[in-house]
Amino acid sequence: MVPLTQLVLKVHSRCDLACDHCYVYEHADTSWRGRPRVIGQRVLERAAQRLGEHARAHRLPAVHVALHGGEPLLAGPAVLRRAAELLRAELPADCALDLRIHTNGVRLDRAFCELFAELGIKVGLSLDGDRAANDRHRRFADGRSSHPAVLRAAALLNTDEFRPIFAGLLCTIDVRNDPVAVLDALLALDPPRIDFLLPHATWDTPPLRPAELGPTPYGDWLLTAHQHWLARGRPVPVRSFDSVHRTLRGQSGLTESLGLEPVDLVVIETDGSFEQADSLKTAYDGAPATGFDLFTNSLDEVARHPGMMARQQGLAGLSAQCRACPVVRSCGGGLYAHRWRTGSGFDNPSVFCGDLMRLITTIRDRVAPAVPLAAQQHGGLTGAQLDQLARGHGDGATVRALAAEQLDLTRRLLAAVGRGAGQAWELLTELDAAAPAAVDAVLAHPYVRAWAVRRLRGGEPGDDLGGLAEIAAAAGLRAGRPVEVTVPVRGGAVQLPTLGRVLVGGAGPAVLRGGPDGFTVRAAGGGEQRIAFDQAGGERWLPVRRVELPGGWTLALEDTDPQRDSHEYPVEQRLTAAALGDWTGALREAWELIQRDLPDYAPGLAAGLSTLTPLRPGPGGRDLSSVARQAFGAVGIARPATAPTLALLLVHEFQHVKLGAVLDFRDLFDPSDRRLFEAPWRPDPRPLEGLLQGTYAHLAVCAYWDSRVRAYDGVAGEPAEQAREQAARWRADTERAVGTLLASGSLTALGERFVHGVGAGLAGGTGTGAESGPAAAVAPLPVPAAPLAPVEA
Amino acid sequence: MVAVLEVKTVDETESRAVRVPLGELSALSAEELTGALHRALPDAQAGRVPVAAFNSAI
Repeated sequence: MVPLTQLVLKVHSRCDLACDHCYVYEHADTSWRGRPRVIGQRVLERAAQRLGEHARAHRLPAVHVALHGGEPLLAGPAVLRRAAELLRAELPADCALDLRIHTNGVRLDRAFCELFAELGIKVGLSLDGDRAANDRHRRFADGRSSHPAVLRAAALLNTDEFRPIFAGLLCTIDVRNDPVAVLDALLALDPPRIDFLLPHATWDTPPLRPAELGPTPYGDWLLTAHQHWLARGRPVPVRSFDSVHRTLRGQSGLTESLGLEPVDLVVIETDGSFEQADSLKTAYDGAPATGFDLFTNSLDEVARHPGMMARQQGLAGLSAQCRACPVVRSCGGGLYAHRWRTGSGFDNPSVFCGDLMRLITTIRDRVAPAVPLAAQQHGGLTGAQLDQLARGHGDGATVRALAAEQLDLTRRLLAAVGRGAGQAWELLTELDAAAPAAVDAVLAHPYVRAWAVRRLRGGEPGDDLGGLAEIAAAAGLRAGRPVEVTVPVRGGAVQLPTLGRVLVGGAGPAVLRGGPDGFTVRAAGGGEQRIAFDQAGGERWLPVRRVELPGGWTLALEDTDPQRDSHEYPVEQRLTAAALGDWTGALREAWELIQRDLPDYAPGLAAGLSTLTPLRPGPGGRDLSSVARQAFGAVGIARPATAPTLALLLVHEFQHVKLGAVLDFRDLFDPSDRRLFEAPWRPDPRPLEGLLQGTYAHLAVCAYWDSRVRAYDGVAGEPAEQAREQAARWRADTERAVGTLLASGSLTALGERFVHGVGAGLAGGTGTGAESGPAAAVAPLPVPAAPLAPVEA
Repeated sequence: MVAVLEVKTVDETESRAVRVPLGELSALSAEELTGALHRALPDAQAGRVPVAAFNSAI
């Protein structure tokens, strides 16, 4: 259940205008006829109590209440004052109240404004644009224009005294109006915010679509307004445009009509009945009804109402056509009411689907990154490679394609955080042109991305974030250049990512000079240390040590980089020579086992796993291993007792590394789905991403135990029995998890393809899922017209 | 062990098509650079912005 944080309180059920596009009086629902005109004292008191108990029960930090109608000003100042005071009195002290009123403005005068300023009520006005546009619908019953009265209201709200309570303007679109003139007219009133609403319509009662305006007049109208808004420098926020921009960046939408966020809103009518979003009035008579009222039912009961739950399911609650659509995260299927069609109910795309598609894809292209991502180009992952990964492994070329996407990602992050670094950034960009391989060798280091993300987020207290100078210095040394770089001394050492750590003592700056055979470091007040590239480590020079394994795999045992604390467990300090020997031996044995018994997994591992960070042993000798999403190519492992266990941990963790890289550029599931799902291998239910990660990792675990079973073929005894039991258990669990994922309804089309591939991999088949046939196995995924959705087929 | 400089470099043929120079990237704004990476970055704004605002009010 999603707690309700938004309440629409209908304080008056009639209106003093007679707009012919009003969903309350002019559309299918006629329930207003039987309702009291003004909200009563008992309803007000009970509404405040219900909201208060809900806020306390769910510890809500804030609730949003809109006083609405009909026309709410008709309720009069006494009722509005009582509503505000009762609401505040019943809410717990630590719950903020965002109180607003939405009015047609014709009665808004100084007395109302003073009341609202005193009570902290923000005021939104409805206005459809310039006079001609507004008068098309927004008239009094006798035909008079409401436009002059609304302009007076806006002028009043723009005075210094009342500007703080001016919330903004709400404009319903009529495609016969000129979008530029409408936007200019709204901007002329200097509102703090604007929103455009699509007129309410359904498949049964479609919106006006004049033939001369083409198939998507609403999308075109909004795009013209958007272009004009951009051209004028986005002078005020426009909620619908900002919402599309946000959802294209993966953030939440700002309105119930766009995006997949669960709807947490309920309407209380003047008689105390609970209704769902009142836009449903446009669908059919009685559509918003819940059958609940606040004298009998709590807000918890309302939140559990099937109609409310249906609008809280994100992707899973949408029609099949919407779920397969590449822009579904931005439109969210459109406003729920607009999906209605007699026969299929709400299981349809919005009647504005074509308009929304045009709007979102065009805005996406307008705000697309000037430089396309690697993942969007032909060098990115192909469909066949994604299918290969889905089955569990991925060959060397596939994992190198993932690594190339990751390198591009890190380079962008570095540009975002590093360009203010002066000399260091200049050096790095210079080297980037002159010695690209040296730069990329440093930037491909897993913990450079981890560092950049921490910098981007401002870091956490106590973080040793370091700077760009060390990265530039390491690149310069790798290039064999006679560079001279000032680097900071932290913790008594100079850190050189991918190279090692020089202990110099003290703090402050140190000057590092590179050359073809080595480098020197001079710390303030200290002597100069000279380090040759062919020099063994010693007391003051702690090089990163790499284990060279047969078949061309070189793995760094990272025990110098401060950013290696990215894993969730404590890391080992500098390995002793004995510990290094133990690790080397265990890795050689584990690698031999992987190459022999898990040959499908070996090439990808060798291509993409560059770094192993030793972790401290777990309590009681428990095996510990971990990856960090922000450190592609690294795993953290506490050295286990046996080499086969190390092999298992390596392949298991590398699954997470690969899937994390896939998810960095692709939507496989609906991230707004907050449900928890049973994970057979854990006592606690998991979010969808956790279940997907676990399932994918256990695919490798199954392969490992299958290989053990094969090794014990025909052999009796405890180890053989244990291998058979483990293989059977993990297979059953993983199969169940695949079923749970596929039944969730929250996988995207690409996600379903991926999970079908996981199922095929588990079955030991070569299929790649229902959607992929031979053609898909060789064809690259289409390069999307949409740069932000890299491989959505 | 000694410092190993010849760590595996990214395959030139595989990366050539997608390598955008750092100098070119630095001409972009931070929003442009990170906006397209939203899936890869922790959501710093999670829970901070009220969502699903009532369609019929502002």
